Amino acid sequence: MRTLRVTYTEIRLQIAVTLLSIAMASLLPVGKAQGQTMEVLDTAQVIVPPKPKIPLRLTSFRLGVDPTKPLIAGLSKFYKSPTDYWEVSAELTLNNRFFLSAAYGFSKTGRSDIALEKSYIYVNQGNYYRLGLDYNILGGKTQYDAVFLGLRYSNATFDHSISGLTGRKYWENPITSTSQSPFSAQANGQQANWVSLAVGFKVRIIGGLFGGVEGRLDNLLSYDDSPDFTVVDIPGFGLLKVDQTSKYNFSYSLFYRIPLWKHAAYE
Amino acid sequence: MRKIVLTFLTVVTVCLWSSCTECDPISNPVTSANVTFYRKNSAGTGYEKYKKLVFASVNGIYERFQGDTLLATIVALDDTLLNSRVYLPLRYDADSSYFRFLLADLNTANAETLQIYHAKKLVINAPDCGFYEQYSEIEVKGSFFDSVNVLNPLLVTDTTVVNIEVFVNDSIPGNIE
Repeated sequence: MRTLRVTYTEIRLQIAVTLLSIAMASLLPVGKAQGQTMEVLDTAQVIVPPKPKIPLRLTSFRLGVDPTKPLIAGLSKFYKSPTDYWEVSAELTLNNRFFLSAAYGFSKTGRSDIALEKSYIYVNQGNYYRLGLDYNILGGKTQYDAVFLGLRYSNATFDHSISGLTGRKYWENPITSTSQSPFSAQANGQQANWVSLAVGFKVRIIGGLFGGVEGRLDNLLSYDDSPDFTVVDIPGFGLLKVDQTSKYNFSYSLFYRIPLWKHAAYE
Repeated sequence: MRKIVLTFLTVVTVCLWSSCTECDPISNPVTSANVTFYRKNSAGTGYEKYKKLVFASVNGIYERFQGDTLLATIVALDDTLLNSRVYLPLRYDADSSYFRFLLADLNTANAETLQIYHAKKLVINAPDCGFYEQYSEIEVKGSFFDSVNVLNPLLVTDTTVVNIEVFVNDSIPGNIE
């Protein structure tokens, strides 16, 4: 009996503590999740709790190189317009949602047309950089891959020169009786600026190695036009035809990813 | 993701394939200034256009420096006369082209001269498709004609576009339109 009485006492005590706890809990400020739980109970609806917001952080740093540019330069040795290209890039990723990208490259282009009456050799050499911001339209659906839309600003500084022979009908040199006139001109420190709309993707190949392709619609804002001859190439923009102001360009990149912020939510 | 990658690679390949640069056929601008002559009418109140001029010859004066000495040689400019127009070929190797118009009496004392100053630029037809000379900013200085008017300072592809109008007195024989 004693045992039973004690048991009753304990039960009463437990009930009292429980009621006290409920009463105290009801005095505390009610959180959003608790409120929603009450709502679920009230309306009998199924509501998925919202995903916790992950603050924007620099999650990784990627270093890249465009392997196709040296390849194209190597193949161009077999053509009449030898070229030399390279491009490196770096990228900061924010939660695999935003990418801050920068690229720096070198370009040397030679063009020529050798004809009997008129001939020329054009050489263009310079550097360029490209800065941009991308948005991953896949959002948080993937940890590493991205399909992105972006904006770019690019600037090039280049030197170019031309030399050759131009025919001169009627104005034959009376001393040498030659009907061709040599010419040469050079312009250094020329500048060009353009903005681009970019679209592309980046995928994880293996481990920290990534591959990416980017297509851009480049729109020239301005460029220095030489007084003696036209600009034929702009480093990073490429071939510039007469009166051309925009063109499509593509870049291929291999990246290596260096994680900066390790957290379960970002991995 | 694989579908997206394959689609994008296909688009890129097609775009690259279609973007192979070829030589565009273009019409090069002329390299000769089109000069039209006008003569005072009989009343002396205005000018009327020559239908055909009768110059004995039109020559270029090839000026060049040898050290500090300016040398000049008369060079023949054949085929520059065409009906009422005279096509004066401009020099690419100099900033001006000097011309001498010899009247029909072959007296060099009656020769008229015209010096055309011009800017010039090489325009390359990319990629590797030759180039052409673009003459512009034509000015005429030192003319011994009555007066000269630059109508179009830019040489274009259309050979009928008149660049320079020259007004002369009625001493140069020719037919009026």
